[in-house]
Amino acid sequence: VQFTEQLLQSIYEANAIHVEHTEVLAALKVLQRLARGL
Amino acid sequence: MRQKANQQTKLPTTIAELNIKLQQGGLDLSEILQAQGERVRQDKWNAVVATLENAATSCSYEPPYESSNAEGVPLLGVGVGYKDMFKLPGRNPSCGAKVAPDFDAPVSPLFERLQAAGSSALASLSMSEFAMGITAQNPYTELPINPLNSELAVGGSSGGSAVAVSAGMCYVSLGTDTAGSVRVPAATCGVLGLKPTNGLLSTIGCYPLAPTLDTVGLLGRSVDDLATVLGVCTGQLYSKEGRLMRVAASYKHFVPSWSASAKTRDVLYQVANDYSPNKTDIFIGEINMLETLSRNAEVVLRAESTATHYQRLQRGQELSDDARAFVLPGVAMPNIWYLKALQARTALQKQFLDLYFHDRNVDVLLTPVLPHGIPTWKQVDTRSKHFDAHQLLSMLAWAGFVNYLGLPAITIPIYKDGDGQVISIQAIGKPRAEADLIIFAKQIEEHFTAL
Repeated sequence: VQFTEQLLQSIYEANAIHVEHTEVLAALKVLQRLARGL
Repeated sequence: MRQKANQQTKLPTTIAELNIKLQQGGLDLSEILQAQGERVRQDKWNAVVATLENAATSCSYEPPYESSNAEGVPLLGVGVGYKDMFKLPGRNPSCGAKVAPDFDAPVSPLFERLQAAGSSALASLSMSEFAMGITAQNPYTELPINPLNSELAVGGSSGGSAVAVSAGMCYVSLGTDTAGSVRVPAATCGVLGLKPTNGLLSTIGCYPLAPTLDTVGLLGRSVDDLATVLGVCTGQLYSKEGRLMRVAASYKHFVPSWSASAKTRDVLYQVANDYSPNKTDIFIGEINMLETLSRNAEVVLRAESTATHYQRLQRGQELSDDARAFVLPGVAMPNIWYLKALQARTALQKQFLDLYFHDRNVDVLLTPVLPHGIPTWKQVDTRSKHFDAHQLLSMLAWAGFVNYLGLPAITIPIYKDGDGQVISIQAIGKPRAEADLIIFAKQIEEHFTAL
């Protein structure tokens, strides 16, 4: 999975979760770190 | 008059001493209970969320004793504190949250067992919001004060449980450990913290975080106390005497700056050298699997904690910014990561046990808990201008993989200096080998001053 800000934003919208832009960036960082461990 | 009597009452140091004195008639039970209750009411450490006099007296479980005769009642007069995550008679846990959860669960069976053994539930104790924090920082309550030194941080998430025991408010406390939340606060407060094998102690009546990692743990000031309370909880007897345990030790982390400091390494070396019959092949360098295990542990933790709090995320405004940051990645995490981490768990546990226990004929694996000792609040309070994220994360570095593997582990304080700085070690055992850890901790306890 290639995580991007847009992908995350759309996932949160699909789950009816309101997020701030800074929260998307922080989550992106965590997911990219975990993806490197695959 | 009553308060004066309480202030004058000197409590026995350990449960065993208390038991003997009650049996010999040298202490009055009501005075002992009043003295402990007074300590909790006068909490100077921000550890107590609520006193439990009502819970202790209004419950429907009749204690099997009528007088202060302690014979056959191992915990008579023993004050116990509970992390505010346990459902107790007359109290729904607040879980350190802004909005307490609607928790439809029975009272914790551990509470029932401890009460039936004569203990007295003293207080619900402070914690990180929904147990999501490796320090005891909580946006809705004051920072807990570390009894060792107020500059030093209190680990989480069972921070109040560690502080209450360290400050002498109660003999033992219950906490929960999903990724180190008993062992880390114990290490910051210079007390023992036992995380048993996953599933040994029931999590019924305990609000979940990540159910396949969640473990109820015990904190105490003496090995005997922990062994007694664990015995009551499990219905088993734990001997405190036995053979020397064969040990292996690791201090190297795959993140080099999370390897043990020279001081922590020296403590590990001294313990390993003095308390193991094997004098060679003790140090095993880096645990090769640690990176994989730590990643899988984090994947499971984030996936399951997101599931626990998913509706709170949707409702909005029920979680603090820090708690939201913890669970939001899990919403977008591919399910396959979680499934793979779960599927690999059994095989990785077998591989780990073969490599570090069976093939080396080892009973106990030693690691650091806090690789650089206890950090200060200035370093790990996220609101501090000196906040150091790397230092905060180092507190997690040696803990989470143990929950993923489901193994028992105990934090043992070893070395204490004049400023209250304590160096603790983590002893990890084989599945259901709590007895080995207790024997090992007891052998160490008799020779080190930090306990």
